[in-house]
Amino acid sequence: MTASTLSRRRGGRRPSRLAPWEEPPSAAGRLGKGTLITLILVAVLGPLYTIVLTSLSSAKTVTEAGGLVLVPDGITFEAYRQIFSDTVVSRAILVSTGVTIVGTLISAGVSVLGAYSLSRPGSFLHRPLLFSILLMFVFFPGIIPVYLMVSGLGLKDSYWSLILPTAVSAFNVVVLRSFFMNIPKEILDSARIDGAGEFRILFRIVLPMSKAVTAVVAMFYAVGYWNAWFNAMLYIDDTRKWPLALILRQYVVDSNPLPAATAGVTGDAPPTLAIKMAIVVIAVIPALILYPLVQRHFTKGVIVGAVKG
Amino acid sequence: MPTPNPTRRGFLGLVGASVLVAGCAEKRQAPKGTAVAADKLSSLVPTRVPYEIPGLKPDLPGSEFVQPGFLKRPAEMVQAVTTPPLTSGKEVTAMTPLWGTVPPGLGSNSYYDEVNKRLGGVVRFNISDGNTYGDKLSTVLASGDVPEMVMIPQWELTKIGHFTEAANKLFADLSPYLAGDKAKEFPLLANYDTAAWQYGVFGGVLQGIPWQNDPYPFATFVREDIMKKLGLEHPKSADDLVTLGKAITSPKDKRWAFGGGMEQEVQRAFGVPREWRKKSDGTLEYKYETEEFAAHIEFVTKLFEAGYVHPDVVANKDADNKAIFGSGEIVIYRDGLGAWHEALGRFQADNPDFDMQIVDPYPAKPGGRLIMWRNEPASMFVFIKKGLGDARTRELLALSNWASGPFGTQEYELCYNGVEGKHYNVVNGQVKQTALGRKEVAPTYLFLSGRPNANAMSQYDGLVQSLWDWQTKASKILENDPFVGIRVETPSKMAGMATPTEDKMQEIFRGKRPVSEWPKILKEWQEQGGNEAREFYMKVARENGRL
Amino acid sequence: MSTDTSTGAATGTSTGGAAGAGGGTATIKKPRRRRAPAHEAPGLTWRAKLRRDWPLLVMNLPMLLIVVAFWWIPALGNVIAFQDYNPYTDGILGSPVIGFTNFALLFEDPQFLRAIANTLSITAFQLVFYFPVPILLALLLNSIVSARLRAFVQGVVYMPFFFSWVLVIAIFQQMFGGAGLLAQILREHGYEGVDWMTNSDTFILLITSQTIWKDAGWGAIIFLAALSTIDPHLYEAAAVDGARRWRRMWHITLPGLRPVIVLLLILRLGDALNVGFEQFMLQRSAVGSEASEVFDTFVYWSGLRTGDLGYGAAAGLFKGLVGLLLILAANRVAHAMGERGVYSRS
Repeated sequence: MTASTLSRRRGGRRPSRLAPWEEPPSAAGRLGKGTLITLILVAVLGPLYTIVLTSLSSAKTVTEAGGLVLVPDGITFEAYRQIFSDTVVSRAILVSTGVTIVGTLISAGVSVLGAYSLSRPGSFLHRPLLFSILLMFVFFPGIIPVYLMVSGLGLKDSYWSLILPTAVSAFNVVVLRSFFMNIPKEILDSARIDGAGEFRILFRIVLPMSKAVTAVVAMFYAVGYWNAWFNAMLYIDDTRKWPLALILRQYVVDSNPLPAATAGVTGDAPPTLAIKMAIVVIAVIPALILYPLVQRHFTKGVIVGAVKG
Repeated sequence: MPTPNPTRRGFLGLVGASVLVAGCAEKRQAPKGTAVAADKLSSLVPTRVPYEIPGLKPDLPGSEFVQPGFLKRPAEMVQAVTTPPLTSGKEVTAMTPLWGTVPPGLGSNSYYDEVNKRLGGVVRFNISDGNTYGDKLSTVLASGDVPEMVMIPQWELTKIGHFTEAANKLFADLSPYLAGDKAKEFPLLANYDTAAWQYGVFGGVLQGIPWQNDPYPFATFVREDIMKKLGLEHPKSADDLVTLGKAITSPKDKRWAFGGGMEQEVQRAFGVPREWRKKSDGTLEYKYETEEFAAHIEFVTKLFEAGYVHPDVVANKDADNKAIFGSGEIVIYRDGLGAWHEALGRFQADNPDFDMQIVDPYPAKPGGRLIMWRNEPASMFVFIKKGLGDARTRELLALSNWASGPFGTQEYELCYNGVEGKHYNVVNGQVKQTALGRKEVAPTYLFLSGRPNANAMSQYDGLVQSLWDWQTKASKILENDPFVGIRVETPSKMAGMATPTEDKMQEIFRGKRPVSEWPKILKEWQEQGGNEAREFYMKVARENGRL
Repeated sequence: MSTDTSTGAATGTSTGGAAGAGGGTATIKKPRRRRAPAHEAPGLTWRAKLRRDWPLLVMNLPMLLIVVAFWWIPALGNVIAFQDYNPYTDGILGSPVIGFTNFALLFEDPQFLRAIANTLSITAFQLVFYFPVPILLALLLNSIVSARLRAFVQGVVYMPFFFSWVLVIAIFQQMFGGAGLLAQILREHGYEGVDWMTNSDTFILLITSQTIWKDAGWGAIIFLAALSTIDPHLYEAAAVDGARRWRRMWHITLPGLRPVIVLLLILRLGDALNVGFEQFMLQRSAVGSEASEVFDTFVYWSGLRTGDLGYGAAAGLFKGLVGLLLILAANRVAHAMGERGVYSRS
């Protein structure tokens, strides 16, 4: 074993330099790759630039641009100030954070357990249980029956109504299960021969070897909870319990139907594009926080390490 | 059981599932719409007793179709309701839409506290984003568990299948409390237009407290500053639109003549009826079936073809006109009358040159016949839950009555702006919201009823007078359709055909279908609900002696 | 040797991580997949199985409870697809049963076939031109040597996923629309302006590029996770054996990704009639309904016309049935090709 493989596994990240066995990339290859990456970055950062710029522009600049601002003309944080000075918003951030954390824990936990329980073909009731998850992937129960169920269980106006109905995503379960099943059987069998029970195998062997996918699935759930507004709209009547995604939607409304506008119900200053774009930016921020946490688990050689541990 | 029609049999044969036929039954017809004759209607709705605000005289007199104009803010607002409407001490639950930001909830909102104090009880609002209100509404209605008061916009209830049946099952019949002279108990409700009240009748039962509409659905607006710079005049006819289109459009300067929705102004100019029209042979024709409609399609298609319409509007018929109007990328567009003061408020602060003007109604050809469409008399309704008992229903009606105070009453002021000195101040005769007001005041109480509109945006130079002048002109050419004074609920099949048909029309404008396809689209409309609707409407018209 | 190096035995089994999942094409040695003695022994009675597998059932229980409460029971409401359903006068128990009439109504509409055709061609097109993009992107990201740059690029490319369709289309309109940046620049230089947003012939290209821009970075994440499960020793061993970069990618990386690719492919097929709703509604007037009518928009419009929940439920059931059949068929193909797929035979 060379020193290089050691260091590669240590910090959890690949080091910036090549392994000794790796041939240095050709000049043409590097140029091609560099160009491609630059193009991709421009394609995403360009529009992102106009979005951020618009969110930092005054109403005047936005009006003159007639849409997203491309050329800066003074920077103002007015839009952000206006959003964050709203006490409703700060409360909603707490609600969303709580729902996201609790929801993600529940969802990830239930899904990991569920996916593992379905990763053993031939086990008791394996096929019907798996099939019901597959059905869940293609058929939707309809809004009204779920609504009746939620209100029947007394969950209306409860935070649980934001978590339980969407706690299990068939897609995530199937993906987790597939990764679990990719773990070499030999490892599991030897553990079983050593007398390990299913729970022990899951928590000591399978999970440590599946950190990357578990982190990804947890992120899928977290992003889902953070951005969800529809269920809150249906189930939560008390605006104090509204999550951020639903509160922020109200800022985006400006294409008012006629009567409200004719009656002047909206007041004289409808929300500006700057505020809308500030909301887009705010919506992306949690994602920026989340991703590095997830990416940390994209480690090489987990399988090797797990066998020893 | 009627025999299945050939196409259906063809399909089943194709699948080879003859067994299915046995289990295949015709559906009952979709609701055909209902109509209540004029004489019966009057026994259902309140008798109108106009409410004059004591001691308040508008600067410009109002009339049936012209809003009273106030050139400056009245110094004193009048208290219209002296006894608090809520007496039982029981919380009122109400579901309303909201366009705008969410206010702090009950308990941490002094505006709610103040209004509730005046009401003598607490109203607990269950508010929803106005744009997705329909989703929540249809779910709540189907679940059968509705709050005590529910506000339902007309454009949402047309999307709900079997709405009339839902309303009849879930909501109270208001006639026992309001019909005829009984409404005197609720003077602000009795103040509503009779036509608006008639619109609140569903399936022959008075159910909705209407939100009264302006009679004018929209007008053509221009950027006067840009027109002047280019040395151009307001259009005097639809023909002028072509000349203006050419003179204004200059993509290089990022300027186009027209925004979205112009086709509706062109339809009006061409003399297309808003809905039905009596033909000389005594039958009814729908707007799509008129010659004028076909002519308007040709005309508008030319405007698109010539490139006079802003590309964003070409790409999306629902594109935001207001922003590109504000930036001067479009110069002429169509919008509701309320858009005027909204745009002035939004754009004039940063651009003092911004000058928006309303265009007088114009015909197709110079000197042609002028008409103005008469809008539906009501656009939103408040419903009261069925089975709450006499006392509670009366209490809730009193609440609606309270919320119906027109401009010039303290109730109106409180609902719109909150408490003076706390939520707003009056500076130079204008309302200026305080920071607290901006945060807390969301006009949810307004959605507990409707009210006659006033022309009172006196903070904008000349707006009140210009709008009053325009309304006065427009009121003289208002065209009544054959069903004024009769409550007809649009058959749902026909209502459902409207968007698909008009989508295809939009495709013709944009060159995605040839103009020559219009007769085919029209035929589809007729076959898939139009003809059936005509029979229904003709029957109603005949029964009421309108044909 | 420090603690985190592998033992000989571990190295042996670890190759299974890629090859066991991968299948035939790998040139590296592939351990035989041994059958686990305890778990796949045939002929066990259900009692014996229950005695053996009860911990798995306990693990399944939380998921089962949620699925039954919020999916199975509400899904029974789909019986309204077979009824002339009126929630106000008859309710779900009282509405008359009309068999397959709602389904027949669906098929009767001439627009239905057009919508299905559009939807399936969009799905097929995107399977070829969108589906590989996240995979290629993941490979590209994975090949960035500098860890910091890699993290940065990854963080950037997945951001557009968080934008709404309204915003994505507004951005495209401002770049490529008739009054957009590109058109204005062209005009300033004396050329004709272009408008890529209203051309119905190239609509499928437009929506696919929008989808790539919005979703590819997000879609790459799952492949990045899969890449991280490939044992780096395999690369080293292959390099020592003289396999160059591209060969290693072909023989190690791709086989390592194969189970995930196959799984996602099958699931995407299950979504064949789901190509999105908002993206098409928003661009409907730009290109016309002939080009933009897809299954979901069709159901929306015809649902408005009939105002009927039973009809909507029938459309949902039809879509689900098509999805299920496609999944099962694709799964069968995957099995035939030696892949595990999504739904394994026991």
